Amino acid sequence: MSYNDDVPSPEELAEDYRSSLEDLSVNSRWEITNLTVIAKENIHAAQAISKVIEEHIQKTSPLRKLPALYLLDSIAKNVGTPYTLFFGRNLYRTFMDAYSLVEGPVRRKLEEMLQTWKQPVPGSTSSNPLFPADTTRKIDNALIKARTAAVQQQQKQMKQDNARFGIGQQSGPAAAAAANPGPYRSTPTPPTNGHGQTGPYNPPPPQNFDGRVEQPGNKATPQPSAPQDAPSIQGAQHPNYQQLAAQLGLTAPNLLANIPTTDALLNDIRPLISTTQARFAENPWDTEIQKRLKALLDLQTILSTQQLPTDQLSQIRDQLSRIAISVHVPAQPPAQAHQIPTLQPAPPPSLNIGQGPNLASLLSQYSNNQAPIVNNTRNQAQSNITASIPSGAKNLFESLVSAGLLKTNQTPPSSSGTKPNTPLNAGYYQSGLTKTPTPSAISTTSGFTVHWETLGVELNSASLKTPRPNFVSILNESLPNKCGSCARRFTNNEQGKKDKAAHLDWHFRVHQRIADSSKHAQFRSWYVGEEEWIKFREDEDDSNAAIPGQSNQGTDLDTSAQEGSRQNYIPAPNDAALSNLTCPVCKEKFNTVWHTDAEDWVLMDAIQSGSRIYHASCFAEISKESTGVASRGSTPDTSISKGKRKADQDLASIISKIKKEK
Amino acid sequence: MALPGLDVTDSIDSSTILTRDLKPNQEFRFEVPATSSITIRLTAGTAGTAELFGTELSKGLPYTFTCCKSAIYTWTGCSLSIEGAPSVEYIAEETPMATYLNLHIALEKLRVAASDCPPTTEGAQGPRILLIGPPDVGKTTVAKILTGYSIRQGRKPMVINLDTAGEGVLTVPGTISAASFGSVMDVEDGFGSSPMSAPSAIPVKLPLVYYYGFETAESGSRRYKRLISRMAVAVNSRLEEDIESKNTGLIIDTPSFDNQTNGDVISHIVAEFSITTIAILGSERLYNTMLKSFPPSSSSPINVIKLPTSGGCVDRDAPYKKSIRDAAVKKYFFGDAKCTLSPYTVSIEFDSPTFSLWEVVDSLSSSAERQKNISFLPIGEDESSLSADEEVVKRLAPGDVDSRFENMVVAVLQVDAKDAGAKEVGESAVMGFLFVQEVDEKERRMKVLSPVPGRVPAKALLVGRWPEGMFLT
Repeated sequence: MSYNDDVPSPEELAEDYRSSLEDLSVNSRWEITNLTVIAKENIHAAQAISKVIEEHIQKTSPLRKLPALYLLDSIAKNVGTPYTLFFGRNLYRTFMDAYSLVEGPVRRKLEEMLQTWKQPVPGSTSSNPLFPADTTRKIDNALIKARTAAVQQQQKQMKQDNARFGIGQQSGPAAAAAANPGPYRSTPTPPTNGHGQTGPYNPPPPQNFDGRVEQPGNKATPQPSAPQDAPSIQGAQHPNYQQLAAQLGLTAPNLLANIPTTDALLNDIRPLISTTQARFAENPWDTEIQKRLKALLDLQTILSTQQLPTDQLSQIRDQLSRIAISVHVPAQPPAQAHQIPTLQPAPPPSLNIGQGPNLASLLSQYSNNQAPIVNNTRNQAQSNITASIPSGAKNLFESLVSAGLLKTNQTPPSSSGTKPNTPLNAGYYQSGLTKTPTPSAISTTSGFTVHWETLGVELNSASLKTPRPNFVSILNESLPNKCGSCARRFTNNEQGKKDKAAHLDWHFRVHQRIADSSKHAQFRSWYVGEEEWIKFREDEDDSNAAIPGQSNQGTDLDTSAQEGSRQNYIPAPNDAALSNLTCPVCKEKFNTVWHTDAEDWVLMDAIQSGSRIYHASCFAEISKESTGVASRGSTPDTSISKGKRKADQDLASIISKIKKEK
Repeated sequence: MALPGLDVTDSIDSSTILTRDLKPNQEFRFEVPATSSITIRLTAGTAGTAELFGTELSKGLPYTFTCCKSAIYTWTGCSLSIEGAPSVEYIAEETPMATYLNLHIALEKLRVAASDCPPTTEGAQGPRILLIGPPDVGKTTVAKILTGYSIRQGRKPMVINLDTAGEGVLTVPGTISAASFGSVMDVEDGFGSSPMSAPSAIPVKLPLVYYYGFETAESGSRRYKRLISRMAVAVNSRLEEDIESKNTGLIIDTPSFDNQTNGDVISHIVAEFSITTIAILGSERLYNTMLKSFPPSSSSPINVIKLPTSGGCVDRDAPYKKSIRDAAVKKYFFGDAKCTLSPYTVSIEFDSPTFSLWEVVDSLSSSAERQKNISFLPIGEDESSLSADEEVVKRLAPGDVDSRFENMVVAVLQVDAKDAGAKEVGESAVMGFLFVQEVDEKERRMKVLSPVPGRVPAKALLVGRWPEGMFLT
């Protein structure tokens, strides 16, 4: 990172900062600290940097919003003004935009963070909260309202549970949205938006909260009802999203039939508040009770000061009845524990995808510790032997016999009494000790020795019925060396270790590619025809990525790929701001075309050096010039050619990625 | 540095986390409605292992499930932590897993023997098992378990799905497909995913797909059989060249064959794929029928075995199955939570010279029509000779394309539009699928969703009746 270059302009700094932010994909303390330090050192560019961060939070994919917000938090707490001022201006929008698009667990983290914003920074001398109270209160109010709506939604869902499938078939989400009188907003699902255009839908379009004030349900309180947006990105994938949306539309009229009055609600609230206060006195540290009490008090204020539309009143009533239940039945988990999961019908993406640089260490940790656990000691011994005698299975077998390790296959105590096992084991020993094992007698695929011919199981219904617990070890220990990340198994011998190392590398590469791929639109590939399929080999996923001719499919692609890299093109940047990019040398635009081999939009005749993109020919010109002159600015020539090589490598990785996923 | 939320997460989540300790040979069964999701972890500190339908779980990693009825089994005992609220969850003690494992080991024994034979000989042919039975007895589950187990032992099974009614394997419903499984399967996602432009943490599998377009084998049984023959040729050719796959053999999942009328289809599959073992689940009657059809005394004996059904098998009602099928189509176009795909809307002109749209023909209704004419046939010219000329697909003139095709799936075949005849179209493999969004009869064009950017290839298109129409977006 070039932040310690001699005083770059705020714009340049911001640009650098933006590209660093792109890499912030996981919650990495190191990266966040680093970015915080940069922000601190460049306090003169605070306005530009905070703007870049806000934009990043708004634009980045939901999976990356949390680390970005943590960065905001970290800068606010560690650097303070002027960043807090800049962030504070748009804090409501920054926070709520992100909140409305992320998953339940992330939301909880955001809520936690929000709580800390109301406190003074720990260790600081000032007693002022981090952000002004009215800013955070605004967010708080929006969240409370959102939660109320979410509970409501859950109840409707429960009512409609039986009718769900029938209804869903009839009306799409659009119809549901039209029929929906409440504050529910059926967010257009991103894939729908994507139909007509070639670009990806990442990042999600910014939400226009102001526009929503006009919606009937929101007249009184202009805060957005964020969690209805919860299903947006993920929910779009959800099979029953439309059903869900349909329900919302169809059930709303029912609610209006039974309108509670403000006074009645206030009457309901009062006893609840007193009960909750009593419980809060008993458990002052219970944050759930604390939150609920606060929500109730806020609700009371809202009800007594404002005239709310009827549908909101009935929402509040439902919410109250829920709270009433959980208050009076202490055994039941707090209402909020239920709310959060219902906000997001879509499955949270599995966390291992986002592990970042930690993945490698995680993997190696697994690889060290994760020999099958059942018979740990035995495997240890076995692997020692395997390591010392890496020759054929025959040697291994004999050494196992002499070491008395052949018991491995024997029946565990639990079933030693069962009848069929006795002859089996006898035969097993005999064959093992008396005759030289032929290849057919031993599974040669691994260090674990199984005498298949002596296994007394036959393909007939009676024989299959007999439980044989010793088979479990055949299943699990033929290949004892397990990948911690995907449970793929390897042998314990040298080859297996090599394969596994390659496999872990593969995981690492794929992880990186997954991180990269979120920037581009992805699509399903065509299937292959019969002939190609017959020739296709599902090759080792972990065979060396860039090796050409990995499959027959690769051959054509490979040559064209190499030609392609000679032709110099780079993947088109996805950022809209960069789409009108011009070459810094000739000031002309780039030619964006669909490249069939790379299967991506590319800029033709372009190469990238550092953060700049040049026409390949223009770049050749200037790098020629700069070889004559010893160096150009702070960038010596070597780094230019490095940059060029890097561009080629990027291309190669695209090609190999495409190939490998086939 | 103070990063908020990092240290408190666990304490917050713990309020919703259930822990389930399983003893050896127990199974944790759970159902998750489509409206919520749960996350299951094999507790990092636990001593045991756990598997979901034959595929092992990694310790400590979160697996997310939604809209499924599934089970996690342990041979060793283990501890699971479950985040979220499954609609049903219990621990079952009686499972048929021991039998399934026996079956796997018996097959593995045959594979070991096959590996020792010279590659080109008959003996190198691994076991080929056909799973049949009535609906909802766990055929697909057994197929998955056997596949998972053989992958775990470093094998490379060829998995063939002939069930056109179900959700499809690596593709959309209404298809038959074959794929070699040389790498682990996705715990969260059935048989996994077919290739995409995006990288995938679980290796994708490349299927060979044929589009059949009916729910049941009867509706187009002649074409169904022809597709099976065609696929068998491809599969056998591949096995001849791929010794690992050949030694491992085939695992074939089928639609619900529960009565006599399917007898000829079963015999056809058995003959075409040279089946060595038929496993019957859940129907004593079918078992006995099979014993009679394939007696042990015949020249090339076929093992006919009976497998117990798991108590975890539940009847899945029609709406649930429909939602599963719709989800499969949706996944084809839009990907899943782990990888979002962006399909493209493309317009297809009916008057374009490369436009060639075909429709599958329902042989039940067309044979009823033929009944009227049959008395005019000379004696001895029976139905079969007549039906040899009967077309299993018919070409649609642009004028025939109307809104009944909206919200249907259309297969893009491998055969070029310009040289497509009924025979080629009837037997062609599939390149991919389009989803018809809108048919504009006036403008003589239709708007389709295409998985791949760019023009739709100039290939013949085939539209069927299954999977039935759905709302995708």
